[in-house]
Amino acid sequence: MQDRDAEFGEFLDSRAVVMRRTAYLLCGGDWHRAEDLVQTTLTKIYVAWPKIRRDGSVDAYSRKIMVRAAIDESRRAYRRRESVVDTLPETNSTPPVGVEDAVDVRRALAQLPAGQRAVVVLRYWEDLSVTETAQALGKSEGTIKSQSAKGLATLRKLLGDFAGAGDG
Amino acid sequence: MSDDIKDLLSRAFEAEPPLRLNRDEVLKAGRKRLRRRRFLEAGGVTAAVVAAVVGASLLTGLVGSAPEDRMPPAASSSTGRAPAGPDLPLPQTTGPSRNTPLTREHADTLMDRLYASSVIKGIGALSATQAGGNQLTFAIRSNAYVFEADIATGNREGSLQVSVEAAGAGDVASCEPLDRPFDDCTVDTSTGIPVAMATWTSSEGEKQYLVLAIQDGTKVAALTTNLSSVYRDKGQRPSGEPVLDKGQLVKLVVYSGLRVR
Repeated sequence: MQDRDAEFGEFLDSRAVVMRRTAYLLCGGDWHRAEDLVQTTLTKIYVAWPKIRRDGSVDAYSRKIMVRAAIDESRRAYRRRESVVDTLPETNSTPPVGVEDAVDVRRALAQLPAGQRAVVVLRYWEDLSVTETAQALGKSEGTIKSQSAKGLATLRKLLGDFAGAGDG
Repeated sequence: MSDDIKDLLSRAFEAEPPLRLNRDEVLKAGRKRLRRRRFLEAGGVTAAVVAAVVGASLLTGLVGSAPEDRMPPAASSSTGRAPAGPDLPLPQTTGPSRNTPLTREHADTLMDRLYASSVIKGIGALSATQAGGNQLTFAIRSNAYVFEADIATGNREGSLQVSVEAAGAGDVASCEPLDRPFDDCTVDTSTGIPVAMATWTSSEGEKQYLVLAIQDGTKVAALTTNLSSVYRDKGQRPSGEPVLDKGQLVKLVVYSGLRVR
């Protein structure tokens, strides 16, 4: 157990920040939920640690666990109470440079359905291929391509100033 | 194009707060989840374990048995389950050094060490067997930790069994417990300790290698075959060499840090 804890602890230390960023995007921009999601994912990884380490599939497994947990959580009604709202509350302070951009992207991501958001994050943030994304989400490659196209179209519509991309 | 989207997504991270994830809390939650899963699994596999024991499958029923009891069964027809080969030499006597309590936690440690060994890292997929309780883990049986799995490498299939138990004071590996049914046995000392290595071949085509080492008060035995439990259950006749060679078994029993305590 000590060996497992030591190795898993090293993995946690080296990957937690990166995982939280992916989780943040999967959640549609909520650092608290992202951290919860990372904790849930890491707990599941701990259970399967010997096997996934032996298979050399730690990253693939963690991605799969995280993305499925994110989609599951998004389906739970209570989460909607805490999800990012379209209209931010009024504030008198001037946001730091870059924060407005962040809010826009966050807001746009939050408007995507969880499944589409997961496809966009895996394809364009995690740089997975269509095949790898399909495996991670347990969907067909055709579904991934169509979800990806729809997700990008929605982001393009909401954010306007970036070029869309197809799956090729 | 993808880079543009990635750049866009990265804009969402402005004002990223510091990570508050607590390593100890994650480990604690992981251990708790692991315990719960094992508890739930224990009920599910009981029937399978009982069936394995009643069926006198591999690794059971050896305590106190005479060497003749370990003779391979008579050849059977090609239909039905293939006969089991010899078993690992599990504990035969009791003594002070054999009273070390075996714990689930230490079984996990052994599992980690097994997975960390270069032999296991270098081979293909391992899969659980019914006789192994349908789990890729060391089971606690007859005062020994016992691991059993089917193995598939690029071009071979078979199974691996490993047992770890307390050795008596002054015990050294020898061919004495391996006389029968193994058809040849030698003791190799090239690793600096005596390592007994034996071979068994059945008329049905099954071939097994067994390697036994004793060090630091621990007896470690590893047995590999050219017949996986799946094919054994189907009654298939194997051919070729066991899935691991003797050199790999020697590495496993001598260098993997498998100790009873």
